[in-house]
Amino acid sequence: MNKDLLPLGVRVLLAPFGFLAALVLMIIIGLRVGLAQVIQYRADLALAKKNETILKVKQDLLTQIQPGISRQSSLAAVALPGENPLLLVVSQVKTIAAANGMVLTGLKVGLGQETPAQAGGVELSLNLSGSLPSIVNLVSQVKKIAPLTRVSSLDLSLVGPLTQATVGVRSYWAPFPTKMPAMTEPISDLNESEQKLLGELAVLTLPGFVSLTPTAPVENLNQFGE
Amino acid sequence: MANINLLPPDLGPKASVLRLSASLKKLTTLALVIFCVFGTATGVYIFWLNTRIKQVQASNEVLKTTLKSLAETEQGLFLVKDRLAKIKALTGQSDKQDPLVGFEQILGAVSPDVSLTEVKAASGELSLSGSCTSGEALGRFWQGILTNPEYKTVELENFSFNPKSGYLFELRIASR
Repeated sequence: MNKDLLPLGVRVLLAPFGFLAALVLMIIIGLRVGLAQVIQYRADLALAKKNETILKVKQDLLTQIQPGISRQSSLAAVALPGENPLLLVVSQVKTIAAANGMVLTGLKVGLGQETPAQAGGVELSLNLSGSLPSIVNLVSQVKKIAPLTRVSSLDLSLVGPLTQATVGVRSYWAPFPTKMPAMTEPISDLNESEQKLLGELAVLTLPGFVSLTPTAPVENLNQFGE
Repeated sequence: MANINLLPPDLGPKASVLRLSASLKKLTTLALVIFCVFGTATGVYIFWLNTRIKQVQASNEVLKTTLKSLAETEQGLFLVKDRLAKIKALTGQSDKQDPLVGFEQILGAVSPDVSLTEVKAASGELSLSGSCTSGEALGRFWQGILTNPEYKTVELENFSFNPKSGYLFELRIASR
């Protein structure tokens, strides 16, 4: 373009206007890039600080509850096992029946009805013979055993010297959780109602487990002997 | 020596244009200085933010390492919470349907004149069959049942009199 085509006034203003326009463009780009960077870094810092707070709270809480958690988790796992607790319940009920001087004349097992909270249920029907007070005792004691068991039905025939009873009990189980939450997920201690429930579980009668202590292998010195 | 402008005045730019040009140059310089100052400040701020992020992340890594050693405790707490939530849901439902609500009180109220022959209990319903030799004892027994606040309805299903065994009755009780 021939400069002489433009008037002198325009030619004089062209350079300052050009510089100013270039600077304005630079400011706009700089502002956009700079602001975006600042916003991103600030968000990253806020997230890192939030995670730091969560991790610190978690560390304090876990250190504080560490001594007692093993007993509490065992208690909760026995009260609501991860697998069908049928054998444990049968053993518990038989122990109660024997302790109350009752004779177990029959036993029937069935699957429980649908239960909430992704849990399974097992139904047990027991035919018992004994005195009325002993049956009442059994019914009240069944509620206090672990795994968690409830009396679902009761049929009593009080004709004759001994009371014949058919007691239906229902016990529950639920698979153990398989996934842990992320490390930066916040956790909280047991609340008041959970503590209360745990206290109730603590008084349940636990099944009698037999634990065998493993022994070290012993060398057989006389391999072909008797 | 005095400056003499030999050019004709209409060949040079106008004075207002020259003033505007000078103002634009000053404005450009000022804007450039401000841009440089703010640019440097932003750069320093971003550097500081980056350093701070690295510090906090390093601290988080240390905390994560400590938490890994406490993983068993965390699993225990998670398990306890999971079990308690499920127990609460299960017992909440089954305790509402407890078939033996007030059953022990009924047995306690049975006098020697009243004898129960059959008791059936299932999901909030209790059915009692029995006999009684005395009308007065039967009234007291029923009164005990009727005034029990645990019961919603008490229905007399069957009632008869037999001179040999006395009053025969059958009650159906629904708990609240």
